[in-house]
Amino acid sequence: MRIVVLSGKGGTGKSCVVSSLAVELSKRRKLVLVDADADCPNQHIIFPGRDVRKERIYASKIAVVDRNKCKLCGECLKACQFGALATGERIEVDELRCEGCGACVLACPNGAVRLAPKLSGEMIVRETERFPLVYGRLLPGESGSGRIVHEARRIGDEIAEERDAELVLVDAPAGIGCPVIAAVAGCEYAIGVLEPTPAGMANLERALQVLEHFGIQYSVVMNKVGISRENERKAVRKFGKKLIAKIPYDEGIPRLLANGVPPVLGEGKAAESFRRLAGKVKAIIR
Amino acid sequence: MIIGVTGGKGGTGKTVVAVNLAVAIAKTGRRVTYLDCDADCPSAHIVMGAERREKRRVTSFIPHFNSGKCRKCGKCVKVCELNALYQLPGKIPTLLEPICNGCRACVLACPHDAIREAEKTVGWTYKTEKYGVELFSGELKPSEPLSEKIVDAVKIRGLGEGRGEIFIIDTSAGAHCQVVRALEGCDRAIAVTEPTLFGIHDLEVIESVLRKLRIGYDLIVNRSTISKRRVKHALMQIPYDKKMIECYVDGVPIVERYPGNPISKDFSKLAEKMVR
Repeated sequence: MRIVVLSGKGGTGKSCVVSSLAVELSKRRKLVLVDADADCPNQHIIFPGRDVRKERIYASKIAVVDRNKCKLCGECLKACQFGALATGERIEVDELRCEGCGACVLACPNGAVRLAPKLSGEMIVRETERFPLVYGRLLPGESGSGRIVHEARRIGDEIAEERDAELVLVDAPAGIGCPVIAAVAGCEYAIGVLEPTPAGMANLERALQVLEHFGIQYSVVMNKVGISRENERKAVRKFGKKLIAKIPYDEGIPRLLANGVPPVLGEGKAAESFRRLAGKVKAIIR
Repeated sequence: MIIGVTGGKGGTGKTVVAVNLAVAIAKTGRRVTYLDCDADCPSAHIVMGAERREKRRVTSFIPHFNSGKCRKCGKCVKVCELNALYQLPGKIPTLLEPICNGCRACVLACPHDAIREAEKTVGWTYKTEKYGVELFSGELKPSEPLSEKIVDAVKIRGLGEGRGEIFIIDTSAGAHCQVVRALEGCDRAIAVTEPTLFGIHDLEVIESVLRKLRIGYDLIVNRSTISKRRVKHALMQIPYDKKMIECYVDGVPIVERYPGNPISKDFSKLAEKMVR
């Protein structure tokens, strides 16, 4: 089973929930953890280990102009829908804007443009003390985020099959766009992490709409409980039975995370509520 | 002047910083235009407690096949780099609409002029005003992946219609194309971080994006007192303060509700420094 954790809004506690769930759930069963936040991966900071496999990901392509063949006619500029080409003494390709779609190649009457593979980032497999961790790392500013996530997900599934792991846990990035869609695609279940603030609610709902679009069942976990009674009541009314756990706001959690410790390994109420959450998730897996 | 507010990690307080700074600048008498370029999860209007108005649709090209003209040659399918088109043998190609990014390569490839322009809605832009700040924001339609098109639309609308002397551009979390689109053209940036391992790690990522774009930047450290880690050379250190959470939850900027709070005073000082 593949379970993805997402929240729409950033900083609601996704990585905190995922790292805690991974520790608890891996006690009795094999699991593979996939950090699908290729922009800003964080699970590898929490879980040290040995990186056993590294692959460069050429997720997209880029237009390359042959100066000898180019007659500066400007047809490619007209065809480009992304404003990635500029002309001067020669045609310049803006590598951050180019989508590698090939419209310029088709438009050029002189056969001067071709597409070349472009390095988007890397995908790494790490053996940690408890489970294998797959994470992607996008080259800063690149556009292949979704495809790196797709690749990390694919490798995660492959490893799960090889090792007979029954669970793949996926940590989605913030937002609801392309890399988030790549993170949720093909998952059988999702957990939405809710921060009980107006922005947290509004943006979790947007993420849940993505899940509904793909027909993925989900539960909601409320994190940082205690920061707003009013919003907490609203959330309880709104999500009803879908709300499976409440994690109290605990000033010790940022300190644990600041030192790379999954909060479930800490002490106090929050750690306990993470263990209870893991219990609920175990029931869902069955 | 256009100032980008970014940070890499989500939830570090980008929007809270950007909103308070914008309101503080408005209080100095300068005109401020705020562009919320977090198309996935727009929240500036929520943090400000403003209602979004003047909704406009953002569309993207999709191909529409003319069944009379299409000879089912499959050339369009072959050139589609995103594999948004597929074709069953002898049939007119089918579009997987959410995957299409509107590049029009299929139109260029079609030898029979069989592809007509159609469009899909990818999201919306809005305009509103509160506390003297003119706010433009975007919203990606859930299930659509084209965040960067919304960012472009917000920038075109906001930079075109906005009357600000100072523009503040709030980016999404992360470091991929939509953040780059939001930051492009900024004169300077502010990177908002927090003193956690994640905050610092993700800050390094966004710093390399800013260097790549050749945009000079300053740091603002939010919740600076939650760990012993110190981020040096910051423009502003915002201590952990329950009043900040209260304001965030209530949708009121701290500079508006508690102007006497040390954090509000620091925002005012920073605003004055910036307009000088």
